[in-house]
Amino acid sequence: MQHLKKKYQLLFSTILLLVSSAFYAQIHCGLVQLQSSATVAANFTFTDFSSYNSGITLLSVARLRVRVDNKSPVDLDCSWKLRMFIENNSGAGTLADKWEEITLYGNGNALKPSISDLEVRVNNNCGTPLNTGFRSFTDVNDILNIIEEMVPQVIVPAGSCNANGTKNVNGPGNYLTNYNEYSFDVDLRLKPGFKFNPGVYRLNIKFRLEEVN
Amino acid sequence: MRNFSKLLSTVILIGFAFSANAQLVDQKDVSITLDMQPVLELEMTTPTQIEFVFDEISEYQAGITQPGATILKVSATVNWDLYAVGRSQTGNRFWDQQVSYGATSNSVANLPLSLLELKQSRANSGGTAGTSVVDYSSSFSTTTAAATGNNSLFVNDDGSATPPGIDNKYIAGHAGTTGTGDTMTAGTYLNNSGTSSNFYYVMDYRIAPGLPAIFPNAFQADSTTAEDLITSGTANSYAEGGVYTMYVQYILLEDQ
Repeated sequence: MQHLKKKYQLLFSTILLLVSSAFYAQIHCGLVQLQSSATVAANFTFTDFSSYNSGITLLSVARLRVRVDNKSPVDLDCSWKLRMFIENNSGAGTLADKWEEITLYGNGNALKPSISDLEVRVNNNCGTPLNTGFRSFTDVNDILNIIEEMVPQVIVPAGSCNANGTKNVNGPGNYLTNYNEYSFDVDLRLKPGFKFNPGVYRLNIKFRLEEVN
Repeated sequence: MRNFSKLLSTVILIGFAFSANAQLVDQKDVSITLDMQPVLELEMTTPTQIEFVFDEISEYQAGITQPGATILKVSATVNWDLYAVGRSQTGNRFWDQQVSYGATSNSVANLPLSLLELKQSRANSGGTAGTSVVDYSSSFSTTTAAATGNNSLFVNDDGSATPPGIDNKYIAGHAGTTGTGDTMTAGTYLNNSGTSSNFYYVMDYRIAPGLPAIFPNAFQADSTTAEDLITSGTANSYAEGGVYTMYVQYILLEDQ
């Protein structure tokens, strides 16, 4: 009986140890926070030929503000990455590479707009994202990096931005002290042309800020 | 003892798996709505009134042609059809007689709207589904040639603007929604090679009364049933002198 009790004590201790390590192990930063306005909704409304032909560009539809605090005591491995995901309510049957159809205005062409027709540009004043031009998602499985996780890990500290165009600043810092590196403007561009069925469609872009571990 | 070791190993493995995934994450969304409203635009350059004045015998014989009187420019975000239909105020298939210069026993005041002939500058590339003459792209026939309905204006029996049927003429596209040979794809004249594109049509008009004035090239909507004054009326009929008016309605519509 005494032997069994010892075994359970060992098991319980192990579980406690693992639970505590789950909370603290691999977590190098004290806070990871992405701020933007409460709800960001971007509307592309095409009502005339010039807009269909030339497209519509929506500048600064969202401004992402990053705050990453180090732990105390400081952990030298604290860094972060920022990525974009896209959703089209595929659970409701939307094809992986199409916009979600909300309503149709007529029975014209059968084509729905493709996700790849939407172009996204995320940039800041320092140009720290590795890709600062307009980019497209191929489908809902595509992930676009803004600030990348480097392998092997390279931490570029806050304040590195200079005339040399330092990229991928990913150390602890925040938009209050290093605005040009820790805030990002999101621009959207769409040029539908005349091949799609008129109607209302929807997409959702998720911006995810993650600690690198 | 062995079972206990297994349990302990499992707990440790699960614990490590959880701890390896632990990280701080935050996320924000941008919702994007795309509202594409259908646009059909027919831009027309034309005089408000086109006059055909027949006051010489040669004009009766050779007819009068008004070349390039109307220019049609199309812009559409949906598949489309374009057609012309002859109409009058009285709402039937005849011209409105505004003034008569004198009626006789053989003169006919009911002139068919189809006596007006059209010629479009570019063939209908989306009309192969048609079973008769599909468009107005044929050259005007010479007045000495046999009568033909290749260019006679489409008119509904009730004088309405109802779209032409499968055996009637369109300018572009045709009846049906199969998508093959009965439609024009969306686009605009603005970026489609200007005058040589399928979105740009120059329309010529002709009236050829003939002598006597029976309008031999007037044909019904099927382009095969003659509608000249003798065929549709009686022998020795001819057009009553006077002033007549009608109008041509150009209709651009989503493919149907």
